[in-house]
Formats: sequence, C-alpha cells, structure tokens
Amino acid sequence: MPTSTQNFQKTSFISFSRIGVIASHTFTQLVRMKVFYFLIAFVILLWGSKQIIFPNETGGDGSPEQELRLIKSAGFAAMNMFSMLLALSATALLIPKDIEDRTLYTILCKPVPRLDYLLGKLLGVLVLIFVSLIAMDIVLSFFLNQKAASIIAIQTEQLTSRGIPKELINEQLAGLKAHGVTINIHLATFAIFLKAIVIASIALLISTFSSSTLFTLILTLIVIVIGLIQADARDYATTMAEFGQQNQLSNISLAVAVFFPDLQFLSVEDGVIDGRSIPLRIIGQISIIALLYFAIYIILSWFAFRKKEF
Amino acid sequence: MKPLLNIILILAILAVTGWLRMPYEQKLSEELHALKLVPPRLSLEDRSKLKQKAFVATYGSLRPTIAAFMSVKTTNYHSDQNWDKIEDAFKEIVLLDPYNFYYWDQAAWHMASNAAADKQNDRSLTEIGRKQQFQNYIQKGKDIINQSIKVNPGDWRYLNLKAKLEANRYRDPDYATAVATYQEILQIPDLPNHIKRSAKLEILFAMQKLPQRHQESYNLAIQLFEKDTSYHVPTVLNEILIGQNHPLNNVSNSMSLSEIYGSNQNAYKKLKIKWLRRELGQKPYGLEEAIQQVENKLLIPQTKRLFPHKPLFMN
Repeated sequence: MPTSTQNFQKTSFISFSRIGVIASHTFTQLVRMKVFYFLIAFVILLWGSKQIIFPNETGGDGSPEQELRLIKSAGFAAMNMFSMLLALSATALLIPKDIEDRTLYTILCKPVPRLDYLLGKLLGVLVLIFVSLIAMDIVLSFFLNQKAASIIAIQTEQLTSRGIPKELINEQLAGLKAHGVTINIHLATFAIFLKAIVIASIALLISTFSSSTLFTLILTLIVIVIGLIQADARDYATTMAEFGQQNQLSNISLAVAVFFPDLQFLSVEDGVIDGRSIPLRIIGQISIIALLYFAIYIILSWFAFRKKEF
Repeated sequence: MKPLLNIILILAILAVTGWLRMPYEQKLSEELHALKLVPPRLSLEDRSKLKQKAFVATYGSLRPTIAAFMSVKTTNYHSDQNWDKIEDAFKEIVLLDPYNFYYWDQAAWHMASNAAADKQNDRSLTEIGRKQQFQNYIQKGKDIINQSIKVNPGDWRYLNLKAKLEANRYRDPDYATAVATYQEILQIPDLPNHIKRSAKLEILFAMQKLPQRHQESYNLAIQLFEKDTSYHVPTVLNEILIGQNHPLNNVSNSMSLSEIYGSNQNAYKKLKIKWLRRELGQKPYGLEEAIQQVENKLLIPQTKRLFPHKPLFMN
C-alpha cells in the first residue's frame, strides 16, 4: 500500500491550467459587478460627438477632418479613461477582496503557488479590459465609419457636380479617408491595452505590500501621472548629461526616469487622431517594452507576496 | 524589518532595470516624436500658459478633446467680436493640438480676416488708429501662420495658407512673398497633382501683379499652355495675349487669338471678363485691340460692344 509521502505529488512552480482557472473565476467575478454598463455611456458619448458639426467658415477643407478627429479623440479618451480606471480599481481590489471573503486562504492552501495566484488574478482583469476594449473599438469603428462615409459621399457629390474627374476626386479625398476606419484605429486600441497591462501590473505590485486599497489606488495614480511625464524628465536628464552639466533638477529628473515607467510611448493614439499610420515595427517595439514592464512588475510582486502572512 | 528590506530590494531592482532600459526608451521616444505619433513635449513656459489644462492633457488623447471643446467655445467670442479672447484661446488650443491644421487656419482667419476687417470699420478709432489696428491684426495672422509652418515643416497646407494671405489683395498683399511661398510648395516631395497644378496657377496669378516680372510671367504662361490642356484657363490664356503684346517682352512665337483661345466666341467671353475685372486705370497690353478685333469678327451689335464704333465726325 503506498504511503502518504508516495501519494504526495510535488506542485509545479507554474501551471497554465491553474492560472486559467483563477483567471476565468476572476473574470466572472468582475463581470458580475456590471462593469459592461459603461458601454452605454460610451455609445452616447460617441453618438454625441458624431452630431457636432464644425463650421467651414474659412473656406478651407479642414472642417470634415475635424469632425472625424473629434469622434476619434473622444473615443480614445474614453477608452483610456475606462481602461485606466478598471486596471487601477479592479487590480487594487483583487487581494483585499479575497482576504475579506477568506477565499485567499483556501486557494493558497490548495496549494496554489503564489505566482500562479497573482498571474491568474491579473490575467482575469486583463481579459476583462481586453474584451471591453474590443467592444469599444467596434463601437468607435462603427460611428467613425458612418460619419466618414457620409462626409465622403457629400464631398464626392460636390466635386463630381463641378466636373472634376474621378482620379482627382480620389486624390483629394485620400486625406479624408486616412481619418476614417483604418488598421491604425485598431493598433491604437492595442496600444491602450498595453498601457492598461502596465498600469495593472504596477497596481498589483503596490497592492502586494500595501495595507489598504485606498493607499494602493492613490500611489498607483501618482505613479501613472509621473509615468506620463517621465519622458520629459528623461529627456532633460539626458540633455544635461550630454552637455556635461548637473544640477539638483537634473538629478531628480534622472531618478524619475530610472524608477518610473514611461507611459508616454504607449500613447500613440494621438498620432492616429492626426490621421497618421503606426508602423508595425513600432507596435512591435512598444509591445516588447510593455511586456518587459509587465514581467518586471510581476516578478517583483511575487517577490513581495511570496512570504507575506495574512 | 523584513518588509523594509523587501522594499529596498524592489527599489534596487527597479533602479537597475530602469538604468538599463533608459537608452533604448530614449531612442524609441525620439523616433515616436519624429514620426509625430506622440504629442510634442511641452516646455515649462507652455505648461505655465496652459495651467491646469496641461496637467489634464498629460493623459493620452485628452489633449485633442480639450482643444476641440475649447474651439467650440471660440464661436461665442466670435459672435461678441472679442478678438483678444479668441487670440488667447487659440494660443492654448494650438499648444494642445499643434498638428491640427483646422485650428491654425481658424486662428489666422480670425486675426487676419475678421479682426482686421472689424478694426478697419471701427468708428471709435481715428483713421490712423484704424489703419494701425488693421495692419496689426493682419500681422498677427501672419505670425500665427509662420508659427504653424515652424511646428509643421514640410506640410503644404500651412505654406498654402501663408501664400493665400500674402496674395490677398484686401490684406496688404506681398505678391513677391506669395510667389516665393508657392514655389516653396512645389519643392515638397510627393505633392498631390491637384496641388501642384493649383500652385503653378497661383504663381502665375500673383506674378501678374508684379510688373517688373513681366517676362517671367509670360514665359510661365507659355510653359503651362504647352504642358497640358488642363492649364488652358483664363489666367494663362490672357497672360499669353497680354505678354506677347508687352513692348519689353521677348516673344519667340506670337500666337493668334484662335490659337490661344480656341475660338473667337471663347476669346470674346474671356477677354470681356478680363477687361471688366481689370484694376482701375489699368490697360493691359493688347487687350483692347484684341476685344475690338473679335467684336468685329463676331459682328457684335453696337449697343452691346465694349468698344462701340465712334461716329466718324467724332474722330
């Protein structure tokens, strides 16, 4: 008869199936909090933006583009806001909620390695953000396409009535079409998702050593704000170093550049609002950096959480 | 003690990884700025001008949204003819969204067209004061456009804006600068064909206002005429006629009216408009004779002629 020690199977350091189970449970938990109702507000916001017509007072051809820009900027601003709030609040609540519900002890006693637990929880939040962003992307694309199609139809009619040949019309409308639904809209949404990944992993790291949810939220928010101006600080520190100059401000800028993440390079949606294309290699580069941030923060979170007692 | 050690270790790891990633991030950031995929950096001076908006606008894609709503607000200032508030509002708007042509266009239009026209008719000012304010606001419009060109180099739309203002005969025109600006537009690579065509015609139109460049103007008109039938517009056709009649022009091959205009009817139609729209006191070379010639050929009734026959006893 086998002994209890022989029956015992060593738990693997990481298990994707375990992570998947925890992630799906977390996702279900968050969906039950009715987070998807925000989509109604999003639809109303975009519908309102679509109604605004900018006057073409100067006789230039800037106002149709401006209307498309407004829809894009309102849509991306709402996506940014929502994904940031969700990444912040959902992640900050993960561990405290499990402690409060006493499910944390049950899970860790299974035994579920702490890394699996952290990864599973975070993945659940990220899947929710991903699904939400997909939904918002579809809604944005719908309204943008509608508006762009109607503007292009009006402009085509006006230009055709003036006897302008079709090739010339297509040339003139090329700039307008660049502001419509292109692959860049979806790439910008992906960049927003990458930003949410970084924010969520920062929030997770802080929550592993924080004693209260409010503290986690406030500190993460501070890190985000600093992260958005980190690029300016780094630029200043680099320029001062190139000139061989050093002062208190450059030292502080250097410290900011070293300790805080750069969230500005994930804000490529501004270029898409201007009608620019995002090269795929740029998406590749920012994805690598975002995943590196994710990996670093997850490892540090596990480091802080591994021996934590509750 | 242990939690403190953990935090110190975490900070140390963050410092090391931060130090290692800095050069790569700096390079990527510069590339993103060069491609204009991220908003331009705000200087400390610009941040202080924007005040709280700079803080809010730090978050991605809020900048264009705030700028859009601020621009809607300027329609109220326009109704009230509050030009100072419009100027201040657009200074902030173009800081928030500097790559948006619409705002620069609107700002320059408000200053150089609306404000200038308003001050020109402002009876509360003296005549000198009106003229001074008129020129002042036109200069503000030009300054805005020059700033837009600095921020958006190589974009034909801003150069086009500058050239149009310089060529506007109601706004202290500088036709020489307008010609130079249109020529600068033609140097831009990958320019759309319709813009190239438009710029060439505008160069000719502005050059016609510079009497000292008569030969250059005539040569350009011939060049455009021979290039493509799409250039057979009144500006070009009339310039050929006037240019070949200019006493100081070097004309290699004089063309007849039917060669220039295609038919006498077409010639009469275009020449008549040119004559009626000429500037006061101006007598374009050869225009009067050409009209008379065509009126005789087409047997235009006396009462409808621009140059009716004089009775013999009045010679």
